[in-house]
Amino acid sequence: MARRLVDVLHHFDPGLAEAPAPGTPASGELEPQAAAGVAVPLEAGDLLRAGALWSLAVEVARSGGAAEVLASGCDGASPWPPAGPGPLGAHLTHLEAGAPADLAAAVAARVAALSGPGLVFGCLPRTSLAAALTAGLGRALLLVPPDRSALDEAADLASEALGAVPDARLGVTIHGARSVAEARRAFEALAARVEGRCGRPLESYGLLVDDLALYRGILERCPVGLARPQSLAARALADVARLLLEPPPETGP
Amino acid sequence: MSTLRSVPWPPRPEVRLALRDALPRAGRPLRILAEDITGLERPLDLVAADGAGRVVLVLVAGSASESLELVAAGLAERAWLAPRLGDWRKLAPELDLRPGLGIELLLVAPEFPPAAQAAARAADPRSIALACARFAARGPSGRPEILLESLGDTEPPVAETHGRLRSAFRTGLRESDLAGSVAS
Repeated sequence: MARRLVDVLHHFDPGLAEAPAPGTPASGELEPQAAAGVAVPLEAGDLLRAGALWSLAVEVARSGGAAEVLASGCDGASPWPPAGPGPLGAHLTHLEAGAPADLAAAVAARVAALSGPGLVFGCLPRTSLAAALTAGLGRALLLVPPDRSALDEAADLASEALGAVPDARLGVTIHGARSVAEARRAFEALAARVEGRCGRPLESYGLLVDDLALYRGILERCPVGLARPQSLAARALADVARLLLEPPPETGP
Repeated sequence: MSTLRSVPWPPRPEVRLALRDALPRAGRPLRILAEDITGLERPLDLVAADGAGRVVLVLVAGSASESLELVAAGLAERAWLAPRLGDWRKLAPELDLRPGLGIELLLVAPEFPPAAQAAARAADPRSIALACARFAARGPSGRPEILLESLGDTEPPVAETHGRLRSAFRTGLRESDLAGSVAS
């Protein structure tokens, strides 16, 4: 995958990588889109999803969007960096655990403060997803492994969320796939179940691969795209970031 | 406490009546739309719809020995019914049917031997559901009740045929990008 100079600048001087301010496109590749808030179900102690999400936020920033993560329950064992601005302008805010409506309000406030394209990820327990969507967070991203039990859980979670807010945009990234075909099968199986129950489509946001680089990045508390930019994990993250920043996909009638 | 006693497989009309009562109360409730209507070569025991408007065709075996036959009959009757759903939708829009979701086949028999299960999986593992039904009564004079048990479900049930999903998988990665690179 070809990369621009700005994408690899941090290899030569990490300080240069801090460059873009939130809302300032880094690569100029994006059509202007409004910033949006995205709820992400994330349980305390789920290092893998947390690490992947922070790496994804950095890739969103690299793709030219502002990227912020609002997370609660952060501690020394989590893969989160210190609160504040991070690499490429991605920003992390630690929140006190609160009601879903409080998180929705915090995300909305951050979205309103952004002037260009970007994403504000609001992390919350899965049991709070429907309430957060009801409180106005109109979009969510589920990171779903392709195994049967995870798909069962995700189908229940998505059905509950769409039952509460039928117009919510529910996106799915298949997390830990070993092949594109496996990710496709998992997404379609999940989407079919949710459509069967709710009559509403899911949005697809690609896949994150089962790559050692991802695990190493989590252990090193360094976003994969910076630590190993040529890894498959980094490429997959960049692809997911691109899909998230694009206009919503078309869905059938 | 009264004990449950097994009851022999009753005639099809009785099974149909029991299903008519049981399916609306099942874990995935079904609305019964039609009962005992003419099909291609046999009566369609029940036609129902789930919460999303997907039509479920329910066929009942006359006996355990008919289960393999039931799979074949189910496929034929489903193919016969599918093009008629558009008309049903026009004639009765209040039913909120969604013919585009395809038709799920729910086959009910006292048992499905391995050959019948294999045939169903090979024909369409995604939208054929097999359910074993037993009848039992409480005490010597109790009314028979139906007990349903789903079989198989080796793949997550899919609400429609491939390509008809409203949700479309997207990725910019190709299979060759992943070859040999994933963690073992």
